[in-house]
Amino acid sequence: MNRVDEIDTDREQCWLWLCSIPGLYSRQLRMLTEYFGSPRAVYEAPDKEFGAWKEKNVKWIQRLLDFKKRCSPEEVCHRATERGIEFRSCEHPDFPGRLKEISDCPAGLFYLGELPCPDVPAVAVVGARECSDYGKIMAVEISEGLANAGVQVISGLALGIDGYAQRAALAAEGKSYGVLGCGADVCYPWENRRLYLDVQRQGGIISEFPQGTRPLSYHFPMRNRIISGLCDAVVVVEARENSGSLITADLALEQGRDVYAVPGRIQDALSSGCNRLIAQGAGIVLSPEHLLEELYLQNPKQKIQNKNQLTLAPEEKRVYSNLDLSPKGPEEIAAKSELPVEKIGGILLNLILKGLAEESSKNHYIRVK
Amino acid sequence: MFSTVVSAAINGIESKKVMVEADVSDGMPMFSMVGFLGSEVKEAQDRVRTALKNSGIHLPAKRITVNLSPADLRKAGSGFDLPIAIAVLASLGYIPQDSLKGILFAGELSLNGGINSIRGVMEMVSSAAEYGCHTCVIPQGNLREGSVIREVRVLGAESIKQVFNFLTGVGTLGETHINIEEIRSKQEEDTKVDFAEVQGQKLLRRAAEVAVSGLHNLLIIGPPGSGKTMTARRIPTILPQTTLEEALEVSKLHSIAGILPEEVGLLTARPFRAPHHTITPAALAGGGSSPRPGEVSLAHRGVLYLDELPEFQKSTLEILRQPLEEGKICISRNTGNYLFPAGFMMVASMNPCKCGYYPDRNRCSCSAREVKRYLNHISQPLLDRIDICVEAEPVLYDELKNLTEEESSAQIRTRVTQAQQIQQLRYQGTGFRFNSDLNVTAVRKYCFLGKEEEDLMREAFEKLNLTARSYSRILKVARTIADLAGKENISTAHLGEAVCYRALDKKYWIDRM
Repeated sequence: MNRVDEIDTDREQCWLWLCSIPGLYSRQLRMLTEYFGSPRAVYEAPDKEFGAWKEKNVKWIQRLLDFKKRCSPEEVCHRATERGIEFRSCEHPDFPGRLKEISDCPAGLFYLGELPCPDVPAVAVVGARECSDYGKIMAVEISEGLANAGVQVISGLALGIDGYAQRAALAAEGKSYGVLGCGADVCYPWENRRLYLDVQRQGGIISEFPQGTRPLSYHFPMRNRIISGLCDAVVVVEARENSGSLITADLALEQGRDVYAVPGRIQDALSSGCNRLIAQGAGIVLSPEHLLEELYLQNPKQKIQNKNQLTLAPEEKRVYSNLDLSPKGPEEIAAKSELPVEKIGGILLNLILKGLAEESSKNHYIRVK
Repeated sequence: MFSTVVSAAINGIESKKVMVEADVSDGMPMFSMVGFLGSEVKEAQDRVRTALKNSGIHLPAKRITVNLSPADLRKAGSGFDLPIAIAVLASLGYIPQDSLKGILFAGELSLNGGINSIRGVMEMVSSAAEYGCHTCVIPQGNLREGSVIREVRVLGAESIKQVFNFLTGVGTLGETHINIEEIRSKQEEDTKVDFAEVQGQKLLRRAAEVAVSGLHNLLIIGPPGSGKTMTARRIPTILPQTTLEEALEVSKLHSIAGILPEEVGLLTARPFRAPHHTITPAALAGGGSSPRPGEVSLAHRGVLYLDELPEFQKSTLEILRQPLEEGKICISRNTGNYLFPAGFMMVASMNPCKCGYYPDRNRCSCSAREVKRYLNHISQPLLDRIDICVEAEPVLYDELKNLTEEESSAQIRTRVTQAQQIQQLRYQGTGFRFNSDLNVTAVRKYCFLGKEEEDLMREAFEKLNLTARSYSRILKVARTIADLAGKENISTAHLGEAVCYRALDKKYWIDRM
């Protein structure tokens, strides 16, 4: 007898129905199921049973009653299948075990693609949307290292650090999961539509919100608890003070996850949040390899160190040695390497073509290796 | 009795010969004027009558008819007052008709009999010889600009009485001699700006030099206070000196627009026009029912500077397409089609984002979307016509404090002039003037690459996501850099520098973020 038959499909359908009610969140769903005993009981309870709730002036009860009149569990189930969205309730054996541990566990998860594998370590890489080039490169390197070590990379599919980290994980042929603050079928932000589709093939898009839910601002702190809940450790790459990534870090600590932060220069506003985390006792990320060691993971693909094998002309060497991860203009580079400014363009082009430098934004250059 | 006087009308930027005919006959006393007249010309009769009265010349109670021919040409402008007055006096027999032969008159009358300055005198005087005239009588206020033209005798008149005395042989009119070299050196001295004042900004200085050498359009991106406007203002000072022909062209346009300063006479400096970003399309292109030159024409042979490029209305910037492509602008009105010259070098500047500090994330907190929206204001077709795009860095304190001796405009101009001469020699008889004029086939011919350079460009093309358009622009700029270095062949270093100046394609530019 296979496992699927053991699952009470009717109960699962009723959970799906319950989770699909717009405007009802995990706390309310828990109250309902505890009161009525099971999700089916909630559906089948006559309207008058909710009278006591109504008297207490509970606003969301009306939403539940409206939805009850409109849709049956079968209809809801049919609609989700039509869209290709899968659902696992918190009682389902496939429901991520890590997430069950957290205090405010979602009643169920909607997803496209697949859910994170419970036997494989998972790490969340999060950070600012408006990130610097330093943050971008760190996110990419850390995520690449994690993916190469077989770790599942979880993030929020947002612009900036989240997106770069997930893209890098996919590029390294790893698995990546994006947790959304809207319905799993809603691509937000629209700029990441390509990533949204790629993640579905090499991981999954996960949301606790029913299909079609719009990305409302108060959904995002809720989604952050799922990000930290799904993983073993959280890495914050770049965050300002009071940033949403710090909410994720706080939630992770509450949930007993390890928190790591990538340090930055103290005058960089984008690193102040990370540095504060470190001051408060978060782990420090010294390099992607160091992070893997901290997590007791092996990096199977050792990076081939080809730095010494490169043959650079003396001038190129001089320019290269003056490049780093903070973007610099040709003028600054020229002054530091004591070369005339009109020569810099040619040398930089050579370095770019050799894959050692990159033009991060118009006339700003960074080192890539 | 019937009399005729030669005058001229300004139509667009061209002078057209106009014969002012007057006839005095018996009949009801009246003053009638015909000949497709603009309202300012119709008003002339009141000014003429009163000015003559106040000059002590009495008009008899006769029927006076004035006709301005050709009758199908619309006459506008206030310059017909003087010729009308003279024609009337001649038809009354106060002035001998013979004395008017070969003299062109133009000028506006004041009620007290004085003569006021008018627009477009230089153009009228320069076509006077064509009309068979040997002398021009113009307002005293326009005497200097008129005297620049040497082909005819130019006389300045202060009042109608003076002209009357001159024509009746009892008085003389003022003349002046213009020394063009003197004007040039004086204007050069008066130029208050010099490149030596731009401290630091080595890249920007270099980019400006390259841009001017090949007359490439330039876009400067940079945070507020990085010296974008300061540099742009100094660009005319490193353009080669105007030739006399160019100076005449520029002065004529300014004279027609009515903004040629009276005491100058000839503009020898290159114009620098910096319209505010609220400018309307008509003001940029040239407007009015009989259009006057707009900003694009006033910047002819000089620099048109567009500060805060994304703030300009899109429809306004679209106007620039024809001038940038053809060096002239065609304006159609119900009074006809007008062609104005508009061959300028465009210099534009903009902030990298709304707050101006992107990509410095410590100061800029614009979201990626806001940056995109800001960049989206510039149209791609306009961006396609900008060969050189450069980022201006904020000026550092050390650069302000250590006032090192920077190169002066004159030193840079010497190199630029040399580079332009090389181009003129190369493009003799081809219709091109500068490297920036080259089209795709010409790029292939004149921007030839060796094996090594070809390999570099192939690699760069793939790695940097270049488009066919940006590729040919890089070659043109590299050609200019080679010319500036006095080299026959484009080297990899030249290409590298040109790549550094490339205007990023907007799609690529935005997708990077």
